[in-house]
Amino acid sequence: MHEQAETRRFARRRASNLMSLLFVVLLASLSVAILLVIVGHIFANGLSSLTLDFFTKIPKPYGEDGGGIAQAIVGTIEMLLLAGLMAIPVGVATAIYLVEFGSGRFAKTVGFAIELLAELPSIVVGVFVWALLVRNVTGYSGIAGSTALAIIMIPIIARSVEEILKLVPNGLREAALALGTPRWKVVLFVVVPTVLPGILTGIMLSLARAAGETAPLLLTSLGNNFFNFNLQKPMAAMPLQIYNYAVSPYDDWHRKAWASTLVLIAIVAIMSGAVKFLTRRWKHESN
Amino acid sequence: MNPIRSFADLIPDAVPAAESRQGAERSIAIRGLAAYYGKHKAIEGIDLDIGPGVITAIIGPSGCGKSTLIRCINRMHEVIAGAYATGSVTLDGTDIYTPGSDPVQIRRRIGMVFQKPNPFPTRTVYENVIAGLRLNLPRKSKADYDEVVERSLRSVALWDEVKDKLHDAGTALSGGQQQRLCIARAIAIKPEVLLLDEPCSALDPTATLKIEDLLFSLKIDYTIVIVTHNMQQAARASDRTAFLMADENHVGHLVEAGPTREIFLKPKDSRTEDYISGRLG
Amino acid sequence: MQTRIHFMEELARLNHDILTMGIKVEENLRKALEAFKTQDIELARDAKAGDEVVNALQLKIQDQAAILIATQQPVARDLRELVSIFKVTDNLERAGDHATHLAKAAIKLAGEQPTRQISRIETMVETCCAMIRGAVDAWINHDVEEARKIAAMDKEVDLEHKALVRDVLEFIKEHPELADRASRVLNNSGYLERVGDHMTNICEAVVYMVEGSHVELKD
Repeated sequence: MHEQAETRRFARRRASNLMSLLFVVLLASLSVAILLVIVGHIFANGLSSLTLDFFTKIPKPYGEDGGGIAQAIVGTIEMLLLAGLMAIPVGVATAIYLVEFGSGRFAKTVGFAIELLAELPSIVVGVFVWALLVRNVTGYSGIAGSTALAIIMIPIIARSVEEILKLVPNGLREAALALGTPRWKVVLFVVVPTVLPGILTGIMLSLARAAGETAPLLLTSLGNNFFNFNLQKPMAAMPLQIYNYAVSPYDDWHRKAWASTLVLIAIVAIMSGAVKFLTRRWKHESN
Repeated sequence: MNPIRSFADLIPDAVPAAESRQGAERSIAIRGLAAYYGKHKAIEGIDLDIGPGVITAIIGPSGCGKSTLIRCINRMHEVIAGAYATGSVTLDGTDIYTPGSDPVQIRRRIGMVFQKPNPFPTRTVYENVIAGLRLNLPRKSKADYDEVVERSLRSVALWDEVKDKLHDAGTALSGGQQQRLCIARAIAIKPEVLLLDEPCSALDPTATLKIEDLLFSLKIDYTIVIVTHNMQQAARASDRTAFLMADENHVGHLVEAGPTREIFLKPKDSRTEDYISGRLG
Repeated sequence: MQTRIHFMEELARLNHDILTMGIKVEENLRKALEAFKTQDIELARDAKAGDEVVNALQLKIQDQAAILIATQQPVARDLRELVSIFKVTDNLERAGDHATHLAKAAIKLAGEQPTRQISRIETMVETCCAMIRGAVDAWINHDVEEARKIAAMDKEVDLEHKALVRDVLEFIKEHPELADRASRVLNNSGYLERVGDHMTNICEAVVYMVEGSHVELKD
């Protein structure tokens, strides 16, 4: 009697275990399915427009078929480089300050500011740069666009690098300090090299995020349908190009919007792949 | 005929003064030392003399402040935010807590090895040994570095085990080897004093005994202080022992210090006796 | 890499002291015999003084063994060795005492006519000295075979002692007026017989140290 009850309870427990497992797996597959649908859709719609012209030509006038987005690729790369130049030192230095040196009220303030900056909607960053730079100093320009992107990148870099630096065991710092090493050298030659791959990953993450930003660029770099290498002039960027093409009434441009999306995704994927490759080699060499 | 009668006549000190390098140098005098973590007082009223050429063990129950005490000897205590110490620690007649003295310089003279082996993970065995030289001293020639690496690794009895893996990562070695590597790294910059904070607590018994043998061979050249929660280790490996205990306010005090053989055969204080015979803490 | 070099060195140092102790006991015994033969009081005093060194060595070795037990956590054979050291040194020290007794007898008997039994005493001292040397060697070399061989020599000492007792009793029957002196000779023979027993005890300690078992090597 008792044993029977025990067996029944066991069977019930097994059944409910199985049910909950099924439920979780189902929901997990859903997220994979969403990704597959998006990527599949982008490929289906964009692949046909990927010609050599697409990468080397600038857009044709309204209504004409053909042409490409070369000026947008150039603009995105140029603005990302400049934004990186501005954001990486600030972000990394902030993180190092917070983890390695910061204590007390000022450090708390810095940490809080970074927190707030990360919460800021990107359009607000765009408006801010527009009001401060575009209207009074630079006008619509690549520089303004880069500045907006940099402001978005700083908290991402700072927070990811901060987390990574916190992972460095305190024992390493103490080992270096106990050898009579000044603090700044400990950070520069012991702590940072230990987590360099992680730091680079954080930076790449922020670049990928910035590469996809549209809203702040609308208000700062404006976009440009012609080749422009001059950062002081309005500049095209891939998200802007996608936006312009997508809202246009032309089928050819719609297809080009899909193709641009594909290229943007590819660039981001290549960037993160390159980082993984480099850091693995770097790790291998240091071993 | 002058018959030998007493124990003291027959057994010389573990290392006669003549055997140790440069006699009275490398001795440490701790006077009225107290250490704090913010408002909490960890140790108080510590008076302790640490002689050259011998191994001094600091023992005591957990939380008695033995790690705090050893970290005060090379000013590593203050590395922790809010931590500070008062009193004096004199090395060869100079108080290392004199205002204006540079903790960075002091740590080059007083090396330290920690509980967990901590070789620098991005550096090879070779680079780990010379890390202190490369980080803090003027650049030398490759030949000089080679010489330092071999000498340091030999003096920690690691050379034969790693001479073919000098350019492998330091972290690829076994735990015991890593700890000996850390000792080699500490002595590569030729400190006068070597502090070890529970250096064997993460190691297996065989690796532990190797480290103890190693310390025995190093004590001629370095003043050695070892913190250990393993009183058998203190008994085995040290010449002098200091016993610390926390009072009811969790503040550590020095109960007794003396030759290890006396502490373990006939301690003066009943608390010492209770602790070493396992009746306390 | 061998570990615990320091402990091994300390043990070796202890055994070195035991060797010294054995040599000293043998030396005292020989001096006492020589004093006995030549009626040299100075030499007899020298032998007596030598026992002070033996006693001091016993204390030194035992204190040091206690320190090693307290600080080095010996186990297995190391522990048996350190524990047995107390037995070995006790027995050596007793043998040393008997050498002193012989020296004292030499002082007392000086100036009287030499005993006729001196050659038997001499033989016994020879055998005892061989046993002291052999037992200490067996101890230091952890040599059980040697220990058994040395223990067997005790029989020779015993036989010699019995023969001497017979001779002395015969002598007393013939010269009852010299019974007092003759009994001293008997005592001396008894001391030497005891030395043989003490060395046998050391040999038993060797077997215990090496094999961990208690054996009786006396017949």
